[in-house]
This record gives sequence, C-alpha cells and structure tokens, in this order.
Amino acid sequence: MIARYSRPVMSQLWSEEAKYASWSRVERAHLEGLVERRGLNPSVLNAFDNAIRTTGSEDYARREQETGHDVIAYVAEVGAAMGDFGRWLHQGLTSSDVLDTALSLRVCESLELLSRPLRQLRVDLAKKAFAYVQTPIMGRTHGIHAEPLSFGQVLAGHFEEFQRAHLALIEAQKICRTGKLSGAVGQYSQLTPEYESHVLGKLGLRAEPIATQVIPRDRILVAAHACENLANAIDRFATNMRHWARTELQEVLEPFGSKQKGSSAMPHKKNPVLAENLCGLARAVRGYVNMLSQNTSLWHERDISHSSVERMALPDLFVTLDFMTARCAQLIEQMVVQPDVMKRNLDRLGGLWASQSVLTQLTNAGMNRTEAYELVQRIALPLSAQAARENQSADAFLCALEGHSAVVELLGRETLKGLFNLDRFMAHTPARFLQVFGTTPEEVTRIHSGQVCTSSVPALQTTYKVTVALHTDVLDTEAKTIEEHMANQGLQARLKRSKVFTISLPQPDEKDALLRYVSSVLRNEVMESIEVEVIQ
Amino acid sequence: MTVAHESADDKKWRELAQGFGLSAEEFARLKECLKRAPSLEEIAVAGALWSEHCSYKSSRVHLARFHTQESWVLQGPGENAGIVEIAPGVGLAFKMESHNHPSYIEPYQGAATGVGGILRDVFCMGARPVANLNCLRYGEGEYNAHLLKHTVRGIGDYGNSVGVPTVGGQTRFHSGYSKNILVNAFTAGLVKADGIFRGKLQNENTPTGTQKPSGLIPGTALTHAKREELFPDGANLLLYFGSATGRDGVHGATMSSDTFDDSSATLKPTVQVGDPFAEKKLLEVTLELLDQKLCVGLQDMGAAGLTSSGVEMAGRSGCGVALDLNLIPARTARLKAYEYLLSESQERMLCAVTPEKAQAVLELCKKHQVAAAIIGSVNNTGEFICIHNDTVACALPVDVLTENAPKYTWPLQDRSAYLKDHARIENRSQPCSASSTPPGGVSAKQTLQLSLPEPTRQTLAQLFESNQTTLAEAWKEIFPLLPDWFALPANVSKDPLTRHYCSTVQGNTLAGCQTPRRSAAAVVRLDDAYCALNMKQDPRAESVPAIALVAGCQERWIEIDPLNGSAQSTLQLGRRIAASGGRPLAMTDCLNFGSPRQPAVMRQISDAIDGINSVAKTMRIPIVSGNVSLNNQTGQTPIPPTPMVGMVGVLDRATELIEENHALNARVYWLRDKDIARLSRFEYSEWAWNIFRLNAGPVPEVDFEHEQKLWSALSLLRSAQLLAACSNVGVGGLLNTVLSLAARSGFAFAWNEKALNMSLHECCAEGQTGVLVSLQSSPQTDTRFAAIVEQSNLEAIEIGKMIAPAALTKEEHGVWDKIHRACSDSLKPFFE
Amino acid sequence: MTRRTAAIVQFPGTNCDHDTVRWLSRNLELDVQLVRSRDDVERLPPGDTSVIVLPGGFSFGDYLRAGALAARSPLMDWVRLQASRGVAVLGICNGFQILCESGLLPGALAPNIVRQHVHEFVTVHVETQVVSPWSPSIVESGRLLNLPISCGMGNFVAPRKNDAYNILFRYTHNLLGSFESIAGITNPEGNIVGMMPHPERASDPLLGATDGLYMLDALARHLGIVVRTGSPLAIWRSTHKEKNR
Repeated sequence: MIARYSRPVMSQLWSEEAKYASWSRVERAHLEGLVERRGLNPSVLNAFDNAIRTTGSEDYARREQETGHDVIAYVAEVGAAMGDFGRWLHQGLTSSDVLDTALSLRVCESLELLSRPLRQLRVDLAKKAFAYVQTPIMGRTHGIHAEPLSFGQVLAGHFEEFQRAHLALIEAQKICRTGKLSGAVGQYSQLTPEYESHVLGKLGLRAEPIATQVIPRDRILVAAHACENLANAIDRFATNMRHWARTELQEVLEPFGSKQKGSSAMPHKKNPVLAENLCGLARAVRGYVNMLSQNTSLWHERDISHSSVERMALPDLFVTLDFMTARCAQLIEQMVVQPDVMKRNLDRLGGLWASQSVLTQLTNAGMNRTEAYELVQRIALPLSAQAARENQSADAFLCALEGHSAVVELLGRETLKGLFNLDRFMAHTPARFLQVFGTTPEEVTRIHSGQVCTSSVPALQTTYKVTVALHTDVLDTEAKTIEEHMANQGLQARLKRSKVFTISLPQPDEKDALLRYVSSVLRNEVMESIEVEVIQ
Repeated sequence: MTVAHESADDKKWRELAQGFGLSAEEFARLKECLKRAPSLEEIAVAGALWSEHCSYKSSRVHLARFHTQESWVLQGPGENAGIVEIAPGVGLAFKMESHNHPSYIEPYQGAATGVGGILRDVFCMGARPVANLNCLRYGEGEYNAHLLKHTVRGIGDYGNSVGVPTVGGQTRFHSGYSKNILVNAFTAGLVKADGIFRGKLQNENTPTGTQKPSGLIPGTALTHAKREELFPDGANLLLYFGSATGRDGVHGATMSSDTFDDSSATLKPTVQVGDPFAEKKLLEVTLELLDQKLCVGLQDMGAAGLTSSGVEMAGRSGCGVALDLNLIPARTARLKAYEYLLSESQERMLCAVTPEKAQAVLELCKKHQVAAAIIGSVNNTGEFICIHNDTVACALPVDVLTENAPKYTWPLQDRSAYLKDHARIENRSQPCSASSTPPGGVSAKQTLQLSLPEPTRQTLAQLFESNQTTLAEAWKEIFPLLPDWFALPANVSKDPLTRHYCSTVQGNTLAGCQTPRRSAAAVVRLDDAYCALNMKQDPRAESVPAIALVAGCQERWIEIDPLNGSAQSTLQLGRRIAASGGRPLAMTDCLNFGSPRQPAVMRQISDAIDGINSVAKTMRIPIVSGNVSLNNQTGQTPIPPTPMVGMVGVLDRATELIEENHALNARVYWLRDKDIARLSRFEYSEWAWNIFRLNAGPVPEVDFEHEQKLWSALSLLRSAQLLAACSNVGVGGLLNTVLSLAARSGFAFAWNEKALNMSLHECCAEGQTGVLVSLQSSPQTDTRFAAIVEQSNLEAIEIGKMIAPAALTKEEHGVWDKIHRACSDSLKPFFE
Repeated sequence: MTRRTAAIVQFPGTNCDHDTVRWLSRNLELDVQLVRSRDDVERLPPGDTSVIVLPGGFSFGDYLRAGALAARSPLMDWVRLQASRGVAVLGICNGFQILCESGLLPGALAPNIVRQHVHEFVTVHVETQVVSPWSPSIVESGRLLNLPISCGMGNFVAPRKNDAYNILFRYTHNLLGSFESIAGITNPEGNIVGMMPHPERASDPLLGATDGLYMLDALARHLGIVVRTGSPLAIWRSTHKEKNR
C-alpha cells in the first residue's frame, strides 16, 4: 500500500483498525445470536460495546506480542474488558470462524467500493462515445492503416469491456458472500448449522455449505480474477491512449495542466504519463492475482501458508485497482480528442482505405477476383510508398482510379466516387450503440436533448432482479398439474411458481426505496418468498 | 411515371404492396388515383383500408339491400354500432363482430381481444355495456379441443374483468370449421337517446370550407408554413387516449382477410394482446368524457388501428386530417411510421375535440390514469396526412380510401345450379369406431370427436330407416342409446364452458347461462342503468323493462339453401325471443363465409343476405349494424356459410319473463301449426346429419303468416298469465328439446299415448316447429288456453309430463342417470 | 334521526360497485356513498360511518396478486382505522382478497384448484356460533345458503402460524380447493368479514335467488338499521317471519 497509489476510503478498509472492526462485527453478531437463541442475558451486548470502545488496536497488538496469535490477543483483551460477561465472547468459535467471516465482509465491501469509480468511469466513457459517434478515425491493424470507423464505436468497444468487468465484480460479490461458524474443521462440533445461518443472516452472508477450518480460497480467487479483468480493461484503454498520443498520431492527448512539465530535460514534451502509469500498475495487479491463485490448495483441513500472501496481496490488489480505476476515469473525462487531426491522418494515404470497397465493386461488376486484386494493388502500393515521402492529396487514390479507363468503364464515375463516402463506414454504428447502451445517439438527441446520463442511457442504470416465489406449501395448481404430469412420465420434480421482475434504477440511491416497496408490496408472507439481487 | 414493362424496382414495389394486402390491380389503381408512386406508408394505409375487413369491397353491393329503418331505430348501419330505442329515452346499442383468424392462431388473446374490440365499438357510442354474447364454431380433432379451451378462457377472462356479464350465445361443432373456427362476439349497451356519440370530426354546425389539397407528397420535409396549413389554428384537434402504441397486430387487418395456408404459424406475432384492466379504465373515461360532452366525435382503434379510425372519421365528416406520428404515446421509441399506422395495440381511442375543451379531456384522462395526447388536427385538405420525424410519410386523399375504395361484384353461381350442387350435403366428420360410454365423444387425449359411435349409429339408422316407425315402436331401442346421443358435442350441456363466464355481474341478469332462472333467450333487465338514465327515479321492480338477447345460426340449412335456410335460421332466433316473453326489435349480423372469388360462396352471401332480409322486412326486425368476415377457408374449401345473427328484443316488464324449464309433473304441450309436415322436415335435422351422415334439401320456404300467429298467440298467453314455461323446439326437433330440458333439470319425461303414436321422423324434424309450453295450474287455465290456441288457428298437443326419475324402474332410472351425466359432464374434461 | 352511512370502496377495476350500492340502498335506510379516494372520505356526511363494503371486481387488473395493489392504496389506511373502531366491514370476492392482502384478515387467496375462472351458484354452510354484524345467525334449520361465486383466485390459504380468524361460511362442495372448505371468515372481533360468494347478486326474487338477503337482515338487526318498506328485504322478512319465530 503505497500512499502515492492509494485512495483514502479503500486504504482505510484495509487498515488494522478496520480489520479489528470487522472481527467485532462478527463477534457481536455471535453474541446477539446467543442472546436470541440461547437465552443469554442481553446485557452482554452492552458489555461488549463498552469493551470495544475502551480497547484499541494498540492494545491488541501489544497482547499479540505475548500470545503470538492475533485472534487470541483480541479475544483476551476484549474479554477482559467485558468483565464477567467475557466468558461468552468467542464461545464455541474457532479463530478462522471470525477471521474468514470477517474477511468475506471486507472482500465484498471492497468489491462494492470498486463499483463506485467504475460507475463513474462508465458514465464518462459513454458520454465520450456518444459525443464522437460521427467522428471518423483511422482503424489500424498491426499498426498499419486499415479502414476508417467511428471513434464513438472504438470507445463503445472499451465501454462494453468495462461493462463486462463490472458484471464480473457483481458476480464475484455473490460468490464471496459466505461466512462460516462451523468450528474447528467445519463439522459443527460446538454450534449448529441453523444457528450459523441465523447469525450469518444478520451480516448479510450465507453459510458456506462445506467449510474446512477455513472458507475455500477459490472464492477469493473469483474476486481476484474479476479484479484482473478490470485491470486488463484499463490496460488496453491506456495502451491505446499511449498510441493515440504519439507524436506521429496526436489524435487523442492526455490532459496537460498549465503548470505541468513533461520532461526534466526537454521543455517541448507532453508525455502520456497517466496512461503509462496505468499500464505499469496493471502489471502489478496481475502479480497479486497470481499470488492469490496459488492459495487454494491447503493441507487437509487447512494450513497457514495462505495467510501471509493474503496479508500482502489482498490490500494491495484492492487499493491499487481502486486507484487505477479512479485515475482511468479521470483520464477519460479529461482526454483531449482531436477530430481534425484524426481526419488529417485518415487522409494521409490519399484515400487508400477504400481499396477493399473498390475491389468488391469490381468483382460485383464482373471482374475476376485475382485480376481485380492485382489491379487495385498495382495502383495502391506506389501511392502508399509515395505518401511516406511527400504529402498526398486526400483524393489521390480516387484520381488514380479515375485515370484507369478499365475501372471507370466498369464502375462509372458516380459509383466510384460513392465508395469514398466515409458515412458508409459508420452506417451501422447506431445499431451497435443500441446493442451496447440500449439506446441510439439519435434517441438521446431527440428525447433527452443530447444528455448522456443514467436516466437516458439504460446501460448506465443499476438493475435489480426481484424474484417472488410461491412457498412450497402453497397450492399452485398449475405447477401441481405439471408436476403430476411429469411424475406420470417418470420424472419426480418439485415445481415452484415464481414471478421475476427486472427493475432498472437511474439513481443508485433509490435502492432503499426499492427494497421497501419490494418487501411491503411485492411479497405476501403467507404465499410467497422474495429475493432481490443486483444484476448490473 | 408509367413504364411499359415492369422493371426490377417496380416488381419490388408490387411485391411489397402484396405484402400489405394489395393485389397487383389494386396497386395499379392506387398509383392511378394518386398519379404518382405511393410511399411505403401509403401502401400500408391503402392495404389496410382496402382490405375486406375495412372496406367490405366484396359484400357492399349486396349489403345495400338490407332493411334498416323502422321508427324505433336511432342509429342504423355505418356507425360503430346500431342503436334502437327500447324504452322512452333509452337506446340499446349493439353489434356483433368476428375475430376468427386471430383466434385460430392464438386462441386466448385472439378471443379476448375480440371481446375487447366489440366492447369498445359499443361504449364509444356512449353506451354502457350491459351484456355480452358469443357465437362460436369449432371443428374436430385435438387442435380444435385446444382452441375450444383457450378461446373460452379468453372470452371469459376479458369480459369478467371489465365487468360485463356474458349471458349467452351459441356454440356448435361441424367438421367444416376444423381449420377455420369462428369466434363472433356480441355486445349490447344502454345509452341515453340524447347522449349518442358518433365517429365524426366536426359538429353539424361547423361550416365545411372548400377543400384545398395540400399538394404535399411523401418524403418532403415539412416547412413551418405548411405545418400551419395542416394544423390550422382553431380547428378541431385529434386526441389519442388509452394504452400506448406498440408493434402488436401490425398486419392484423390484412391478415384477417387473407386465406390461410401452411405458413400461418409465422403470423403468430401479429396477434394483439388484450389488457382488460386498461379496457375498464378506458370504458370509464370514455363514458365520463361523453357524459360531460367534452368531445365532438369518437371512435375506437380497431382493425388497422389509427389508420382506419382516422380515415373513417374524416370520411364521415368530409374533411381532412393531419397526424404527427411522433406525438403518439408509444411503448417503444423505435416504431416506424407504418407501424404507428397499422398497429393494432388494444384499448385505444381517437377522439375529435374543439381546442377549448382539449385541456379538460387531457385532465380527465390523467384522473383516470389513462395516457392521452393531442396528435393531430382537422383541416380542409380532404387528405389523410401523416408526419413522421418532420417529414411527410403519407398524403392520401380520404375519398380514395373510403368511397372510392375498390368495389367488387364477383360472379354469382346460378341459384338453381347451387341448389342442385347442394341438394345433399355430407357429414364429413371422422366416423367414430369405438363405442364410447359416457362421458363419450371425449377421449383421454381430449380431441373433439363429432360422430356417434358406429354401432350406435348403425342401430339408429335401422330404426330411422322408415318414416312410418312410431315413437312407441322405437322408444325401447332408442332409449338406451340416448347417453351416446347426448355425449355428442352438438347435444351436450354447455355449462362446463359457460362457467368461465361471469353472467351475473351488474346484478341484472334475469336469465342467462349459469343463472338460477333459464329462458329461451338471455334476459337482462334495465334497472341499474335505467335508473342512471332517469336520475332520481327509483323504479319499482315490476315496471322495469328488460331486454332479450339471442344469437346464432343454423349453418347446415344455409349450406343446403342459403336463402330459405338463413330465413328459417333467423326466424328461429325471433321465436326464442317470443318464447322468453319478449318482442323482437332489431338485429345485427356477422357474415362468416369463404372466399368471394368462388361463385358458389358469392351465391351463399347474396342469398343469405336476402334470406335474413326477408325476415327483417316481413317481421319488421331491422338490421342496424353488421360485420363481414370473408375468406374463412383453407385451400379451396370454404367453411359452411355462417351468417351469424344477433337479435335483441324487449320485455316491457321484467316480470313478464317466461322460464324455459318445465316444472316437475308439468304437463307439456306442443304448440305448433296444424300442418307441421309442410313446415318442417326430418331430412335436414341434427338426427339425420348424425345418423345418416348427410342432410338433404329442400329447405321449406318460410311461412311468415304461421310464425306471426304463433308469436301473437304467445303474447296473448303471456298477457293472460297462463304460461308457466315456454321453450323453443329447436335443434333435434321435439325429441331433443324435450329430452335435454328434462336432462338439464334432472328429470325424466313420460311420453303420453298421443306422443308415442307420432312418427319418429315427426318427432325429430326441424324447421318451423313451434314451441313447448306448460301452463300455470289454476282453474280455467285449460279452457282459456284452448280458446286462445283455437282463435290463433294453431294446435296444442299434450305430449306427456316431466317426472322424477325415482318414479321409474331401476333400469330406466339408470339410463336417465347416464343421460344426465353424458349431457352435463362430457365437455368438462376439455377445460381441465 | 340522522341517517347512517355506508361507504362502498371503489378502486380502479372494481366492477361490482354499483350492484353493491343498489343492494344496500334498495333494502336499507342507509346513506350509501361510493368512495374512491381520501378526498371522497373527507366528503362523507358528518357522523360515523357504520358500514364499509369492499365490492368485487378486478382492482388494478388483479396484477401481481389479486388485491395486492389495492391493499397498499392510501384509502385502505382509512378502512383500517374504521375497522379498528369496530365499523362493520365486508369484503366480497376481490374485496376479500384485498382484506387478506392488507392484513385486516389473515391468510391469502390462491388460484382455484380447477385452474379456471368459476362462475356458479354454490351452497355454503353457515357456522352460526360466530358473532358478527354480518353473520346470518338467525337462519332456520339447514343453515345452507345458495349464492353465486365468480372468481379465478378463490382458493383460501390459511396463515401458517396464525389462527386469528373464525370461519363464517364453508362450501358444501369444495370446488375451489380452499383450506377446510372455507368460503368466508371473520376477524376475532367479528366486525370484519371476507367472503368469496356474492350475496349482493342473490338478493332479488326476479333473479331467482334471495339468500343474500340473510346477510342484510343480520346487519339490519345488529346495527338497528331500518328496512325500507316495499323493498325485497321487507317482503322477504314478512314471508320468513313465521319460520324465524
């Protein structure tokens, strides 16, 4: 955790204080459980709250010097501060019950935190994509000019990649949302599964179906891989950015402050340092993920080899990625797009980008394909060579073709000229936008007067899936009939009828209102149960 | 731009036009009318409005012959529904409409939206719907069993939810409908005679300026000046309200006029989806709107949606309209112009308002949580102009779409040739080999099986061979076979079907399906609505009038002889109203036929119209509204001709209702013409159809004089309070009528000597077969009854009495029990 | 004497409102008012409301669950308040579903076991020991009423732990699959009743069904409401007088 590459909220979450606080949440939930299910005196909770207020991380650290075991140190310190009630603290738990359950809480919280800059990044990127939908840029493969396309479409491609990374983060949260109170080797020697579910429910976690002493590490790895996806998406964007900014291209530049300096030696320089920094940090992130991926196979019911790795990799992974995402969002928001330069670069080869279109048109008109290819190549290659040495007029290729009687005869001047219309290369972009953003630039202009925001672009909205399911003991006649029919066919199945609602909210903070509505209106206690999950 | 030979581009456009339902000639005609190439949207609009469904292009020339006027008619054909005056100041608006094709493809939604559509047709005239009927036809097989279940559910769920009782109708089965089922829905509503609204855009007193074509053509961007011309200041505005527009039903109108081929499955997404809650809100907001007289005219968006309502209203008012499609409330932002125009999203209305009242209408809609928007304006261009994205999408002269729509006079087959071809019609339903014990006709797989078990049929065939055999001679053998007979879908009780329909909501259904009292017609008293119309009046129950409603037709007779068959069939509906204690007032029709391109079908259409019309004229029951559904055919085989008729009558006092079920121990009389052999025949009865698997002509000519005598006799008997019950002798003749009445009440019937001496053929004949009555038990009843019968020149034959099955031998009791169960349970498994 | 008030609660989609108004106003000397909003409540005549009826229909289109959305309307807070003061509350069909959804009555209503809308006249057995202003406790021997049901979700599901209700009506033939054949229940105090059958549609000799009048008769006796002369209930009372003595 280097201060230069971290932001306060995420760093705070991985501080020692936050670690102890997460343990306290678990221990307190356990105490509440004991009060509710085992009839413990409710005053134990007051005692616990007092003890937490009066002791702190220094005390635990000091005690750890003696015990050599962090959880024992914590339990001893807090327990002592609780007086008589202290004996109930940590009752029936093994240290991993606290450690891993608390870790799940922190991992999920981190994934949630990452969503914030990522949401902002997606909004900024969508704005730029809509703004430059009509701007042509040269498409390049192997670094060589290929065919033009809309710069908006290029950005929409990046958007789509960030979108996928975001979905992976949401999915990973669901996978990491488990805890365990199943004791020494996950066999519930002290507490029962029902008790475990009850307590974990308070923390918003599900019970790990089969834990060893620990929660299986593949869960954390899913989170790590989701993070890696996001880092890679940032890396690809930053790499493109560095290319666009090269002196020979200058199509998109990084923001440059009025007092900013590019090089210590060469005053003329504006270096794409932000993007380069992102590429570098992405390498670091991939390293942390690699470390975590070696953590899944532990000895028998557990060893401690994973612990040291996690102490380093997890905080660094989340803190670094959080920083990267925020920096990337800022880069996107402030990047300087130069459509005129894009156009100039596009014209540099005199319109050679139309070569495939000419080829296709010639074969359509009846020319043998090989013959046509060679003809176009004969005209194109010298122009390409020439362009490297001297400026070409934008229509050099068209003029050269027009000088070729066979071509003119076959295609006619009008058709030939039409092949050089740039709009042809952007005709399908609106349809792509519809696919990616759920709306088209035309609609955003017409209905929302050009405002790209969460209310105008469906892809930017948070989407919840609400599933309302009938309790199994409520008679659902349709399901019953199908069930009987299946049974007659030799299939023993239990069917449940459910309704599914997909609800998109433009404002993320309306979530509470949504939950209130869902629990008060959508659910009927007698007949139905309900589940709400974020799906985008 | 006329081209001698067709270029690739022309071909593309012609095919496109075909996709929207325009034939090559019609497309050429459209170009000719416009003197330019039409736009895609214009082709869509013309395709929809020139479809049979909207333009009646093949039937118009014949429909003109209908008798439509009587002093009690407040609104004849040409509006959304016809209206007759049923009590001073109170109108009854009613209409029947088909939703056949959509229901075949997607039975639940197809049938539900059929109900929704007809409800809107009625309430957009200002009438509060008080009763629904439906006429259904199914064929045989598993798919038809599926269709039966889901159309019935669709009809029930929609009507129940809106809160309009479904009180009756007619459900019949015939293998000729296997690939083209019929779903016809009927709605009647009450309206103040001075509160009737029509689908127009201008008040009578608005001066219609001289028409000045806009000169706009599609594709031009709209200038500010042009916009002011199209949307002139102070002109009436077009206001849209109801559900938002989506893509559902695009192409629906053209589909409903297309014949089916094997690719029908791909038509599925074009069926509309109904939302009865939206309909209920729309009903309340519309009636309040009309009550407060906030709008000038109103029309629902039915088939071809906005296009037909906009154009038809403009056509009636002789003005032009301009719509800005972008202003339409839409469920999705990416609708294309032609999708806006053709969308058949349900539960939508278009109304014309003066600029001063527009705000009030918008606020009213807001109060009822119904979406609303001003989408256009009336102008004097005489054109139907649509703007989309500030560009003209469509600029069609209204008259091209309405009066000048194509009219076809398709060739008719010669009448005598038709009668010769159809002198014998065969029952083509699959023969049923296995002898089924009740509940029969239904196998575990739930397939509609329309034939008698073969052994039963053969035994019956021997018994019915001679027209001399008496009931007495045959009864012993027929009796044990009756459970099979009553398990036939044609004869079973429809209660398992009608229990899906809430028939008692609104609390005014005196007699209908699933009500404690039953009558030959459904009877709904005015009461609640009547009180509402005559504020402050608290009518005493006995002075409240009631309406009698029936609907249906007898397709087998009509196939043999469309002229006499449809007259007979229509007359029977009137007889049911008379039997319920009512007086027929008016009718509506829903003409379901095959393709008009077949001369035989055109003969059916033309003759059926004349047949119904003969009843309308002679009995003074005018036809005040109607609907035509053609092309009900698959390949070259049309459905049996099915001109469904809905008839309404009035009971001056609700207390005059005559029940249909005869009481236990009631002595039953057959009241009929003295020369019944002249008026009825066994050869085209339900019995002959099922036993000999064929019906044979001729269908006797209708004797209107006899019918008038019968109806006035019933009226006299009723006024003299002599009648305890009265039922129409209908399908299956006397035998069926008596037995099913007994079965429904859980009774048995004891034939008397006189009945037993009748020939079997006489007992099973169909036609003008009179009614069954039983009398109030009071002194002198018999003599007064005899006097009225005598005076009416009719005859009344006592045929026996209703008895308790327990009074019979154990064996007989057992058979009656089987009959009851076959009758009441055979349809049940179809709905499980 | 000031006239007593009955409020008929109307939601969007309610469709038995007018029938219910007529049922009460034709037979009893009550001031019957339709209320559809809190504003309407404010406008009710001064003095206490004695009777509240939640009529049948498809409030809010039966979306989500029958009665679920109506139960969360502000108007229900008023009903809740009145009910807690002991006002006689009756929920018929959809009204019953709303009462359960709002927690005024326990349990819930699930789809009919026959998986279809059922409209039929059925026979219900009256549990006469229950004390309620709506309870037809003076029914002569047999205690069977013939009333129509019309519903798609009339299958009563009992609360799992709670038994805070009394059974008022049971079907003699449990067509819909209700728990213990329940057709109608009351809260422990007896002033709130929910029932699936429609008494208001069976209170007129012209309709061929008069058993719904038993409930009005009970209400009139319990609350001391005057019966309108010449009304179906008055006629019914005169013909039933003998038996009731």
